[in-house]
Amino acid sequence: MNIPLQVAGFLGRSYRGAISFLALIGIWAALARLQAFPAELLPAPDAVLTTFLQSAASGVLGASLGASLGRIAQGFLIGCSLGLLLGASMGVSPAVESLFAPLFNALRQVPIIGWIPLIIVWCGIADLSKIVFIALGAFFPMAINTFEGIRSVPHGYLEVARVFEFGKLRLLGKIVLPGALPSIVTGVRLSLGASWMLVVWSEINTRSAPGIGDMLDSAREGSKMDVVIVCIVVIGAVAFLINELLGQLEAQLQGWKKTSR
Amino acid sequence: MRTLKRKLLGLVAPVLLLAAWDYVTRRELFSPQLLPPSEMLLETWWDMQTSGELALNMRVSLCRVAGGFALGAALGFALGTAMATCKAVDDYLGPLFNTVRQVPIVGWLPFLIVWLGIGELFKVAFISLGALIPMALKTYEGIKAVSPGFLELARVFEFGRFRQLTKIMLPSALPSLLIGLRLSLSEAWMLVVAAELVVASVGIGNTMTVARRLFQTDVVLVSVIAIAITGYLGNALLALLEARLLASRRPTCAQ
Repeated sequence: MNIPLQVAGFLGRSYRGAISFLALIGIWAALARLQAFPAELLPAPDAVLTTFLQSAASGVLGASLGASLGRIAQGFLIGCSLGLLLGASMGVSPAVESLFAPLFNALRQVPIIGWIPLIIVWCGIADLSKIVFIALGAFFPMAINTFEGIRSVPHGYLEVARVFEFGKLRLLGKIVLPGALPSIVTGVRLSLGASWMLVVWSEINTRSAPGIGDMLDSAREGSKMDVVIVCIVVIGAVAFLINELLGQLEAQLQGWKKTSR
Repeated sequence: MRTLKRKLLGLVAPVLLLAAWDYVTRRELFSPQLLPPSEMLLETWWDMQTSGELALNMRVSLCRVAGGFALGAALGFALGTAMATCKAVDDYLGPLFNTVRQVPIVGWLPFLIVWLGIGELFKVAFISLGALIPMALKTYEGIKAVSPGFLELARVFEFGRFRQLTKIMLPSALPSLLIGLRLSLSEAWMLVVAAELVVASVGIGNTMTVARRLFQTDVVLVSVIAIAITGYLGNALLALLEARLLASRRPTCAQ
């Protein structure tokens, strides 16, 4: 009965949202047309679109994006698996927790970007230091969320496992890990998001090889504002996709967890 | 007794780490430029402390954080409140805000440098952009989560919009607001380091970049520790504030 109302409400809302986007682009186009700012500061919207299409067609954009994603793939895999390992072992064993938690919590206090000068001293400015940096950034959220996920497995489940006399391995595979899965996926989402931010930042900080951050910062140096804007939009779009896809997986797992209760 | 045992166990890993560090530096497996002996850190810290170098750079960074955090958190609070209390603002600005916040803050760095130069204005703008987003989100969420019963009560007492906001919405959103403050402070602290590592002539991030170029690993390590301790203290301070504010409120909330 109120479905037409809901549709109308949604259309009304998205129509209002669209107005502010259009207004922003309109003001931008007008300012560019009036040449209120030099073109190095404010290129016209259609110039940005042309630049986007050109750099996409020539493969420059794809190559930069590919290089950054390749660094992420390596750093994220290393950091994520180490984080999973530490988080899981701290989660299942109180002894491991008391052994590592204080050191882990102390190291966690350093804002992740603060590690980069140290990593550069030890690993140089090439890809290795970027990968180590990304791995470190992916490690912390993964370890924390895995740990919390395992600790939040309801006590009743563990008792059921005891009643059925599950061995340690079956307990882990059948009860603990499935119970902790939604939280682990949250960890994956956060650590992948952090990896994406860190690859962009490390490429801006030390420009040693192609990448989307390198493309962004060299466009800044060359006063090519159209390329700067294209890069920012692409970086935002990738971050959005990471968040959206894993967020949906998360919601599905949580829903599955609820219905299974 | 058990907690004592746990605490002792917690000391094992740091002590082992220090022992390994000591062993490696004593055998000179790495050059002292890559890994300085641990006792050298204390000397370096003392030098940096007595020369005033550490205090000066820390003060500059803290001033930038204070400016960026105050501006960003205030704007974020205003934006979050406006979007949560006024449907039209939410409809018009919500989609735009949600689009802009997808971009990792560090991606804005080159853009802001082009527009604002590499001076203080750029750094404060960069930090406040980072501080704004979590504050706006948490304010919005906090006010949206106010229980409808409270709002009905306000309607019964014929509260005006302002009184409804100050007497009902903000007090009940307080826990969420405080989380927003903490998130935005830690973001601000990370971003000042990020900005100073890229462009600065003074500041703790700049100290690290200069030391890194000169291979003064001891200075880098001391700076990393100083950054961590300052970040921890900032967070602890807000946690203390949170505990005080919420402790006096909990009994009234629970009823």
